[in-house]
Amino acid sequence: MILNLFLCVICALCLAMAEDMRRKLKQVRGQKEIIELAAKKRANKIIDEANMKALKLVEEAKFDAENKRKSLEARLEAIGNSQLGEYKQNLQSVSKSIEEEFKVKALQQVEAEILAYKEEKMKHVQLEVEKIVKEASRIVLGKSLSNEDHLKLIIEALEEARTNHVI
Amino acid sequence: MLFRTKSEVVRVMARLEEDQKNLYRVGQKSTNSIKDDQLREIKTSIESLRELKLTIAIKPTEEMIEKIYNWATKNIDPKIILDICVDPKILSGAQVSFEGKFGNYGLQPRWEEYEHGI
Repeated sequence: MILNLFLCVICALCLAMAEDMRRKLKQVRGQKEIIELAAKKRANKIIDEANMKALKLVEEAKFDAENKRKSLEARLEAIGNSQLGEYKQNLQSVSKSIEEEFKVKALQQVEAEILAYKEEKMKHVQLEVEKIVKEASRIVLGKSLSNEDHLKLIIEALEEARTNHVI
Repeated sequence: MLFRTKSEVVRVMARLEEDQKNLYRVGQKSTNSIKDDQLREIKTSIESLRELKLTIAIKPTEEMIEKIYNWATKNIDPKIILDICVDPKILSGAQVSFEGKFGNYGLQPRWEEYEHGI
């Protein structure tokens, strides 16, 4: 009887303990879920924060890169403009000197050509004048002779031809 | 002589040939027409003439032609015909060609000598 009672007590204790254990287990499970949720939340938060940081970094990097690119372009443009200006100036000065040299040479050449042409023309004019004077003299001579003079000279020509045995 | 110069011959021969054609043309009569044998005879007599070619400076007058012709018939041959060309370049005098011989007796050569001396 006592044993039975003892056994009953033990059973009751076991049951109580089992119940307690079950409760604790349930509690632990609940806590575990809570912890898990918290951990998940925290993990998500960390990931979000990491994402945000990464995005921020990327944005910053883009911004920096853009700034650097702009700065580089500005510098390059400045250098280019300066060099272009210098180049233009050099080119202008070189072309000016070449132009001057060409002008001088061309002028000399043209002057020489004009002189040669002038001399040639003067020579030609002189010859033409001589020719005209001769032609005029010839015409004057031809016209100044009368028919009688011509006849006399023709007969003289015939006489000379006879003397020379042409006729 | 009937002809003194070659141009007269050409002119007269053209006229005679025209008359000869008219002789055989139906319905046309010409009092001056000559026959073939007559024309041939004239041509033969002309061909037998000796030709004196003269180049002179001016167009000759009838009087000049007559005097030159008279001189030629008297001094060269009575059977002579003149072939006169005009070239003012020779100024005066004459260039003479006769039976393959030539002599330049124009004033031009002497004038050119004078011109070179100017």
